[in-house]
Amino acid sequence: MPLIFISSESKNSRRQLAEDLAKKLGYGCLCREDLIEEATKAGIPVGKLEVAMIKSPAMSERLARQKERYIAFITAALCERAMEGNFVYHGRAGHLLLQGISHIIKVRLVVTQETRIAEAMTQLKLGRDKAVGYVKDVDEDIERWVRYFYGVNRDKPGQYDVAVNLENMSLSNASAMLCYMAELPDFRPTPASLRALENRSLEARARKKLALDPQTENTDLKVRAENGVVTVTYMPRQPGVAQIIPEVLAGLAGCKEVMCTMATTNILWVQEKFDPHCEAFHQLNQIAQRWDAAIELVRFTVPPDLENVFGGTYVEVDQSAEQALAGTSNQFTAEPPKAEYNGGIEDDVESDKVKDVGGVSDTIQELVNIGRSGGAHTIRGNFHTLLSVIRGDVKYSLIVLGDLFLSKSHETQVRLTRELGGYLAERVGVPVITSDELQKKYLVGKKQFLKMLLYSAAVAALYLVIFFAQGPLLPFLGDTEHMQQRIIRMVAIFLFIPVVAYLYGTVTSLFLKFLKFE
Amino acid sequence: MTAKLNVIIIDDEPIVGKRLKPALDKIGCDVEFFTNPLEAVARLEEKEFNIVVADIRMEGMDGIELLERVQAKYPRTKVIMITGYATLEMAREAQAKGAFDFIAKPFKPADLREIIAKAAESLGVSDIR
Amino acid sequence: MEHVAGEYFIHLDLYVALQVILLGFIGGTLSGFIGSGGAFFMTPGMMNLGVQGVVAVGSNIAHKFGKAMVGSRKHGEMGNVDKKLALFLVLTSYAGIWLAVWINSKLFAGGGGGEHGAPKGAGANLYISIVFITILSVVALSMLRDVMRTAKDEGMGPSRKISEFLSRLRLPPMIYFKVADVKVSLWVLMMVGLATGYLAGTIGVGGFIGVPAMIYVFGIPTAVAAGTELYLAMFMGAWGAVNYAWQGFVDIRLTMLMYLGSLLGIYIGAYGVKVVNEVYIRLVTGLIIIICALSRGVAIPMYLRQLGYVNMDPAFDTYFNGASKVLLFLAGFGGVAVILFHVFRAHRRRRSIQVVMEYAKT
Repeated sequence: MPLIFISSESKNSRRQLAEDLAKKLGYGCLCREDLIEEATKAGIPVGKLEVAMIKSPAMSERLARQKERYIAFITAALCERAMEGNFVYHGRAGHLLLQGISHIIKVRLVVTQETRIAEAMTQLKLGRDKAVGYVKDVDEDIERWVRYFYGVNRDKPGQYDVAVNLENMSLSNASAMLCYMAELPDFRPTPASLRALENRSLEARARKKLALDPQTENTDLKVRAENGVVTVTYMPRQPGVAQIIPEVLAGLAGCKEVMCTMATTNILWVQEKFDPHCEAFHQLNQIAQRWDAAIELVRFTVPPDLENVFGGTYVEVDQSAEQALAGTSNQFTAEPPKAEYNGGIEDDVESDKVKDVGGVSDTIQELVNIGRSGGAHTIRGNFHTLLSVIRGDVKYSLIVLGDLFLSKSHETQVRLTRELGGYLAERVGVPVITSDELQKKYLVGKKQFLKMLLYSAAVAALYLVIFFAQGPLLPFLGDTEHMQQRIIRMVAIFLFIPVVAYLYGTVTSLFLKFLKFE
Repeated sequence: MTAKLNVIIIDDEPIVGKRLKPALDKIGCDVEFFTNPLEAVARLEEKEFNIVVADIRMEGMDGIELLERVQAKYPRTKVIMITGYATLEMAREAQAKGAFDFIAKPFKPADLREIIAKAAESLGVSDIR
Repeated sequence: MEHVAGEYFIHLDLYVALQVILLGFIGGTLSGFIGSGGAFFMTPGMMNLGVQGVVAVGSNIAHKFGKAMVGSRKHGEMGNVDKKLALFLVLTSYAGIWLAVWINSKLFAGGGGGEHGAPKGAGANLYISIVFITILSVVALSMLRDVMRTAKDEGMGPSRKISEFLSRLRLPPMIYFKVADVKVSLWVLMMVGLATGYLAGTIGVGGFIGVPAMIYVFGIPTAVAAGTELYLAMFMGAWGAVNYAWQGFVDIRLTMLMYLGSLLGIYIGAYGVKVVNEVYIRLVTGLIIIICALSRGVAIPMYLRQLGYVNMDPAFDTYFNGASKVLLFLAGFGGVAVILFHVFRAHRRRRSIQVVMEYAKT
């Protein structure tokens, strides 16, 4: 059975709905208030974070770190509970803590302003005017909270599975409806979603451990977990933590291996088959070295019978004995390199590929050797599925699309790759390029050299002209008598300066690229 | 005009008083400290304070109720709420009920002194007996 | 080959040209490192080379215009720019720039006190120097104070005293800025815009006021402040350049020479930010700025003499100017040396890749 996360700014209504629902389903009920109490006891200044939403609109760096600790703690607490059994959780934006897990039903509860004002008047014994102000203030504060903590707009409907408006629906009927929804096969746990939860849980527990340990609490670390392998990425300013991290994480349940890589940023490499000896790997590696970036691999394949590559309801029916329905559009399947994966449809379609896993393990091993590994995923599905592994809390600076859609004809490959590029660029907001363009854009080759020569020549010509024409130029620059001269001069300078800056700027940046300095 | 500011601090953790009292004495406040809100209420019945500093969450009586009582009896008294476990909803509630300001734990005595100075300013020096 | 109208432009020989390029390089490195400014170093440096203050400022603004254009082309898509805020500030800053250009050219035309046969431009030089010293000292001291404070106890980021006070005042009309997530009164906005523009126009450095004002007065996040500032710099630079060009104070040769050094320096400075600790950045910056202010201060007696306010042997001019120049280059070289040291150390460290693998039992 699925977990249910209810998000609302009305504490009262979410509590009532969650408790009612939990009773009907025979689940436990968990609320935000319980978790923040635990967090405060563990030494996270939740009150400070809360009040910061009211007092100062901007977060300081220190507070931002506390924010990370808070998220780590709450996520870990939720995951721990999820491992123990089913529950209904209600809070402000809990659905954002565990994204991409298909057996969590994310419910947005909408309560009318009037109801909330009335509640404030009766429960807090406020006058109407004060209650109106109170509701409005709290509303704005929570909106700000969600934006600062998760960088999303609370009211965007795409993040929820369902929105329940209590304006015309009674609370008990709403909970009955959610009860029915929980029975739907779409939200039943699948091996894939359970694995995703497990990964997320390991990740959150590792993050929490690092965040609460005095040795590492003040470092900026990014944690990802995949099949028991925890990858911790640290910033080049804090090289010392690499030694400490394994100590801190020692004994973490479910953790088979800890890897530390130094990075300021991540490069995401999406491809169907990887090979550590190919040209693109070599080029990406060069870029990663220059940027201090880690490379994260995504092996992405599209099922041959897929009609809508963009998303929508992509459903694969599991033929195996479990009779489980695998996947909505949200589902992503993490294939372990070992054979322990039990009977997903992946086995049926591409059993040969499961063994060699498209070269992912070879490539990741190579990346680990050179200290650039940002982890790896193997996913199968549509564009939306791919998007779900690209998470907001990891700073990407480049997405590279390699050879994809290998089963299609060449023309289709090119078109689909272009479409995927546009799709990702629009949603992730980082540059997306194909591996063919790598050389052109980020590395220097013959073409770049020619360009530099050409631009240098142009720059040199400009400078020579100016410095040889000083005689007539200076009177022109300093003249204040002739209106016409002044106007021409104004326009000339306005146009001339950007040209010089652009030409010479290009030359310098290319020059520094040649020196591998960026 | 060397009027002393009367400040009452109510927090169920004794350490809070131990740390805050000297810090406020230093700037010329007359500080009384209570760990039991009920005792504090009794004291407030006898005497009007300029400034009340109270934790929102306490055993016996919560800070918000205390705030309401103080507001009803002495509308001019400035109430400053300490919020350790508090959520922004609670802080907004305190604000709607007339709290002068709130301050989140952990804070430095200087932060509280700053708020108290602001409160004193809004009271006006002549109001202080 | 004597010129008539452009007589106040200096004669450029190879030696002077090289010095201007060097100034550009140091200024560029500092500006890449600090994130704004750079002109605070280049303008006085050029004045020490004998360039008229007004021309130094005019050429620097022109330089800033092109530089900001290159910069914002690169960083514009980061999402750290509040365009609405930038628009409001740009509009009001234009008034400030216009005012500054007007004062500068009036002072320039007024020459020195006149009766002492003071060289043209000494009045403007003095005025620019004084504004320089005041602003640089205030900025540097508050920066250093910040460093002290953060070193002592764990401050919670930038102080919100001013922004809280102002937001409590709520002078209508209040305007809401979505990206920065703040509400700011139109009046406060106009004051800040005017001040930023005025300083940008007078000394060629607007970012010193713009960025702190956005952080402390409006209370917006540092990243957004820096991003918005780049946008501002571009528009203000353009406006300033056009205005000074109209008055005939842009020496395009100097601007071009500065580019030769500065565009290279910016990359190195920006790289430095990535590898140097934040408190350290502020400390270094504060020290550099304070020495720059000091250097300008040393040059003041010279201008006073030229204006006839002080009786002094004109022969001393060289010493004052020389001392000022030495101080300035000391600050510049020192700062750049520190940055380069860190950049190369990080470069080396990056090569020795650290991979730690640990197996823990499940």
